[in-house]
Amino acid sequence: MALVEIQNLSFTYPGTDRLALTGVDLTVREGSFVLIAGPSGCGKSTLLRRLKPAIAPYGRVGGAVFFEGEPIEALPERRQAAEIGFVMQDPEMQIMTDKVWHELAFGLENLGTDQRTMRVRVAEMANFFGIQSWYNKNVSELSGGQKQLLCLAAVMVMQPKLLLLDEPTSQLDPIAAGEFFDTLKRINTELGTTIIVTEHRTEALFPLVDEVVFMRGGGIFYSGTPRSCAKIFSTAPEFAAVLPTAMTCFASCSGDNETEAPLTVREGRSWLEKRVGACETALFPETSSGGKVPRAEKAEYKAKKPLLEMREVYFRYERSAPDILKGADLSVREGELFCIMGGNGAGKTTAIMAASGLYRPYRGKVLFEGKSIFSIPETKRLGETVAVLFQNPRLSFVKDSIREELNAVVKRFKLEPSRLDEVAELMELGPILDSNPYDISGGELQRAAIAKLLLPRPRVLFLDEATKGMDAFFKARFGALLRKLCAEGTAVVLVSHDIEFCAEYADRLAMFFDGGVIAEGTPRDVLAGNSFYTTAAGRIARGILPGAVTANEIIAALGGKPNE
Amino acid sequence: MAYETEQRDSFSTVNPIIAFVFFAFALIMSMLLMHPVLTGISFFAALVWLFLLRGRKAFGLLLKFVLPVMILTAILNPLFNHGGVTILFYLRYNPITLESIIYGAASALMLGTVITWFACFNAVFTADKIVYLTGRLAPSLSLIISMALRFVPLFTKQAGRIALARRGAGSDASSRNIFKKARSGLSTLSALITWALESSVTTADSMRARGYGLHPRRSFANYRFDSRDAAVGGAIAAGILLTGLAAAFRVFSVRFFPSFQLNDFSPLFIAACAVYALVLLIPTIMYLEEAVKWRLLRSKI
Repeated sequence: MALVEIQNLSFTYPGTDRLALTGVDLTVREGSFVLIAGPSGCGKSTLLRRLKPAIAPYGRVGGAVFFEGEPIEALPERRQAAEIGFVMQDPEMQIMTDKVWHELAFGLENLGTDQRTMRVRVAEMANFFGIQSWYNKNVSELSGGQKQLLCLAAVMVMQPKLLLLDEPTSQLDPIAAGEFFDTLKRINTELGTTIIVTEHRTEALFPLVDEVVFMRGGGIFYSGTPRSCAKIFSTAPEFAAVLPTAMTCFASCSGDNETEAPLTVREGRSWLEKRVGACETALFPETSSGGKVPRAEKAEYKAKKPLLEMREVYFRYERSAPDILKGADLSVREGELFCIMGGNGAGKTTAIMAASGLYRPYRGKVLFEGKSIFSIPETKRLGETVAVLFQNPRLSFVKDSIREELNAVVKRFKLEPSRLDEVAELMELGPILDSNPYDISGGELQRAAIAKLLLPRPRVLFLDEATKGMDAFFKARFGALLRKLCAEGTAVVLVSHDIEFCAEYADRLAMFFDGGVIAEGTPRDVLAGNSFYTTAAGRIARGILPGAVTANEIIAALGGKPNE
Repeated sequence: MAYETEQRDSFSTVNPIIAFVFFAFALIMSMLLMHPVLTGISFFAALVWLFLLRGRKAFGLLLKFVLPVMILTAILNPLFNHGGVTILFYLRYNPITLESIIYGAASALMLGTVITWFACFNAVFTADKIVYLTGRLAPSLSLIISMALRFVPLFTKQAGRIALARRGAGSDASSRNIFKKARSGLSTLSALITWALESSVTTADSMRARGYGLHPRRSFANYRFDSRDAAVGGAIAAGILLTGLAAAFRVFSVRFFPSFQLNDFSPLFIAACAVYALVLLIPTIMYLEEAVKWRLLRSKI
């Protein structure tokens, strides 16, 4: 039976003529698990919010949405609140009470549920989500992943029939995101709840869902089972970035339509094994060196003088607190894209705080061009020598438009006015230069924030989790932009959880663990040997095409045409 | 909140309504009844409990806060209050009277008692309990308190992040110039406010999505009312009634001015004092009872 029926839905935001949704038809069966994929601004979130009238934006609506056969706007408020659950991106702002138990009970409090039922429901959900151990905690003590699980549980206590999630893991690290997806799958299979989720992290979701819907320009462009999605590759190659790695490799170098498209790493491996066995020419160019960088290249790199260096740095925030950095070594050369990877709490962010001279380590040295970075006065050190961009770039904007914001920096550093245009062009800011920082997308804001930092020409640019929440389409553009920056001579140090991105664009990688660097080198050097902490492509190719860590490398090795 | 883990106090686990009534009784009686014996009893009960609750930390609180306040009150009263008939000596033409010294001492004791009870209240009444209590009376007020408890620390943290982000961009180079510092602080505040307003949209959506605004709203009770709560509540109620009666019949009457006068220590007075002491010592008695029980349990193992 259809739980949700969308018929020829269109939507226009007030003040524009552009249709945010056009002619959307979609039927969602009861108990199904649906993924909506597509670039930012394609109408995913708008569509999702139309299914939850309480928070649907105002505007002109055409067509109709039915929930269990009734027009969705006609649902009584109480029923709508309980039966349609909605989870948003940012867990921090969705949680509104100070205690875990109170947050869990919030929805039921609103419904005026009696005390006994409330108790039972809250207990049930705490059990289902494994929340008992932190049931009495303050919300502020939870990790990001726990917070988002709490948001999910706080919706599930009302026993919704339909669960809507709008990019729920965009603020989470990959491990927490994986756990979140597993919980979604459990809700779907064990409770039978219908789930519709929009998400950029499609790699992990594809194997879990029943149906994938691709959206583009406000309309549905394709929908079908995950396995059938390999088909869209020939008609819309730009969606390659959204498909799981195994499927991308399969679709871009396989003419054999008789085999089923692989979805997971396991399926990808068995497909690749057959493929490589089948064609003799499929030898990876660098197989001979075992995935290692040729020695000459290494020596040449070593000979280059490091621009910024960290030597055996120890750091902690308070005297009695534990060490966050325990003898961390790093060296960054001029004009390179240097990525710092590692799990949560490995000390990545702290490392850039120490390396940029924001915080002074209590042991070890931080050298800039061979001299201690602290010998440069702070007014010269921060801004002109190094610059740091933290997560949530919105925080660094105070003015009404991007141009004013940049102008203020030009004035402060007494730069020539033409510098603004120069940087605006480099960061492709043209169309948004006069927009308000709160009106532009996350990706655009990220670019504007970087532009702001670039104005005084820092030699090293530190970016903390800059790819967080970016969609696959924008990531590619962002990667190219960073490469352009590096080509101009700026060294970029990027902290990221995103192994895929680092493998694709970094010159060098450092892997952080427990306050120190445990591996440093080119992406291939660091990632090809790892069996778990590596890209999906690396996992697929391990032992079959040694040394390949990106989908494009696999595709190239098989003689296919690499994707942009 | 650290004391939630270190706390093994039995009274802290009774229903907050009962606990609240107890504190209200202890505080109001300590303020109304200036009889030195009664204030002494109340001070003693509050002190013992505070030590049980906070352990060694209670010393610090006493030395740093309670004692100075008491000493100051005891000294200042005779200096400014010259009532009373028994003049002891003159200090720069100002009479210092026995009555005002006694009154100063009694007020000091009373203030110390009230502060000590508040310290106990602070240790026992966690945010959870306050939210629960207000939830019984006004569900929306309780939600506001709970939200304040969440968002005030969150905003403080965010302000720190903004300041750091500004420093990282070189726009907040620590300067000694006080005007520059103030301007930089204002920018941080402005960014914080914008962020808060912008994020509140998400919060509002999250509330609406979960049916906020439907009627009637009911608060989730994280506390039960069990038989022990009934027993403790009954004991406190009986104590309130008896003490109230005794006070109404002027059993505890005391006069400071013009001359200090206590009534005789009649058997009725002693009985009433015993009742008062018993009620105020309920938390201590419960604590000791539990401690003894555990000792016995352990010795059997």
